[in-house]
Amino acid sequence: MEPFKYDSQKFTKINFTKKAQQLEVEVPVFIGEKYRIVFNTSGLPKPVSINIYTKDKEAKKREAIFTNKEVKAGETVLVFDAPRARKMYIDYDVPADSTASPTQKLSGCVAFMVGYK
Amino acid sequence: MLLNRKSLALKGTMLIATSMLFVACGSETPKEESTEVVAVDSTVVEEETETSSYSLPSPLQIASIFKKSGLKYKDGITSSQKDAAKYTTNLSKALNLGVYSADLSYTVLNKQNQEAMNCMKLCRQLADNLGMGSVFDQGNLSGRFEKNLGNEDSLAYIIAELQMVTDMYLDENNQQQITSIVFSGAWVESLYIGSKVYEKSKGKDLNSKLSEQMTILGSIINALKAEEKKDANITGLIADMESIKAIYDSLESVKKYNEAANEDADITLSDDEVIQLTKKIEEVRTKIING
Repeated sequence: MEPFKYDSQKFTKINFTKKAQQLEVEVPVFIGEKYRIVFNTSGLPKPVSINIYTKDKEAKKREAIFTNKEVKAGETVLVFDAPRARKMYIDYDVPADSTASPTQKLSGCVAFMVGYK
Repeated sequence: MLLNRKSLALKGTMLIATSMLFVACGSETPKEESTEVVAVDSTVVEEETETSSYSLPSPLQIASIFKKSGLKYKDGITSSQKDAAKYTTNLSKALNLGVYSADLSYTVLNKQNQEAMNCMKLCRQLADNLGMGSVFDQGNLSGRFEKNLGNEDSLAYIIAELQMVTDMYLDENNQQQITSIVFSGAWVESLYIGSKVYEKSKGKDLNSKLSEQMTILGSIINALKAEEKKDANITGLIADMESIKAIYDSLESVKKYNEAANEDADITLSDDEVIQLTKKIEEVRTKIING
């Protein structure tokens, strides 16, 4: 974790519904500063795809600068060293849950901390 | 000794962050038991999840960036309002909690111990008035702050920890709008301090850091707009923040930068442009401080 300083974090509560969802967190950063983002996914009842972009979800063309697709099952702490950028968009692609009903649904939480140096 | 302290503080911050995750997620233990099945009253309309949200930087991070660019301490530029009881509305309390947080970061990073202590007390007072004073008691933050006066590194870690527990408290209590309001106050105060120091020093690095700060203004405005339905009083604040953005966007250097569409380039403002921007920031800051 060192030598980064961590003093901001973001929790996103996720409700798994019958419909797939895409939740996006905009993270403004300062160019020239070095950032590390640390995710903790241990509060999720089932996997959620995490992707980071430098453009928002409305952009016509964008490429992920980070994805958790290759992460081994059971690994719940993910570390990403950010490239030079002005903004980052963290997208959580939440899969549909066919078992969700109006009276019962799965919920969980994902969090990240932003470190800088 | 210092390294040990730093290392302990870092571990403490990580421990807090990890434990916060489970508290915020409403589960006490990780793994299997983190699966939470929520029973929903069938007569209740399903709550809509916000599809876009914002993670804004901390006042300490902004103060650190300014310090790296050569921002020196200047006496008498922090908020002159030393009576927190003057702020009676939740909006003015939250905005000025931000102002004092920025002053706290600025004074700590510049080793102004007595003033830092005063800022800490004012932050505590406003947090109490907002009903969230208990965050200062977590891990004895107030006591540790006082005990470590004079040790810049330790104080910075304590402020970082305070920021994290505050954010968690507001998240837990579904008061994210306060996070955005507090940050708006802190951001205006940080810019005010930066521009006042720039008036004297005219440092090139400081100039580019000032204009760089403007690039996050759009995110702040959007974060406030996303919370507007929770607190209609934010509307006036959004207008004030938009008025700063309008001035910035009208500057020639900014227009040229936008036309060039080179996101990697630094923006350097002319002295006259900094004066225009400073005037607007000062106007909004005065309004905030006057409550």
